[in-house]
Amino acid sequence: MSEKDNPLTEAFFYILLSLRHPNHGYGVIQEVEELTKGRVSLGAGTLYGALQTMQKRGWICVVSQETESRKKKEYIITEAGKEVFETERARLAELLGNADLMDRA
Amino acid sequence: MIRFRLYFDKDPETEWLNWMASEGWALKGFFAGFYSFEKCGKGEWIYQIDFGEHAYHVSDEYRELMTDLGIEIVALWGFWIILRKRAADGPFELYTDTESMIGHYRKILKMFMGVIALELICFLVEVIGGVTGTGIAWGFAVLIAVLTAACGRAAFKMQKVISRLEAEKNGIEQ
Repeated sequence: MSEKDNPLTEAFFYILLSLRHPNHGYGVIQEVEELTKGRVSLGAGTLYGALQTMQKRGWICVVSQETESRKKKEYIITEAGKEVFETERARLAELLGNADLMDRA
Repeated sequence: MIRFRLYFDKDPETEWLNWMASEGWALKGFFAGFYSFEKCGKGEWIYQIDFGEHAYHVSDEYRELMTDLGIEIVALWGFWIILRKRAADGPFELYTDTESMIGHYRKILKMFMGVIALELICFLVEVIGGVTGTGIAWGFAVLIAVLTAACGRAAFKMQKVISRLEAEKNGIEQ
């Protein structure tokens, strides 16, 4: 993992999160919209680019799912992806923890 | 209906396609500056233009994602991908955060810089041809110079958009 992998962009953070289970592109967009109550709505280009980048970096991989009609491409987070996510979680926890100092001012 | 236009910048081109759609003309095909339209309900479609990874080809992954999202690939031209989605299905934006917008415009800028470099080489070849007595070479030289200027202008605009986006991004982070 390189320096510039963190902090994750909001899009990357939420895409990784919605790939904790196998999910396809459309499912990722829907899940991110639900999680953020419509605040983050991923555009097709943003999502496609992120999926390509994350595959290249080995953070996610493809799991093909056979359905009656056709092969459907699904993605899932890898161990490397989970590691990146945890690093980001630790960074965010630090921010939130330090934010509590405000209450004691 | 067929219209001929030469666009070097995708943003005004997208605007024009959406204006045509709002007037009841949906783009159906594109070839070398010729845009073919067919009648549609006013504002039935929203158009967007993407910049692909390969010329005249999109990956199955791209195609599948777009299909799943109700997005239709109307035309492929070089690296350009003209897309549309029914307005009734909600808003249609391709890039929804500053980082991915910057990435998108950087790819376009890189392509223009490559094209400009090639054009300059061709220009030099034609000038040498002209100097050594091939009259017609001067004509080509002028034509290439005009094309280079148009690409240069487009590249300059891309650079401006990227600078604005970078400033936006840094503004948030500072």
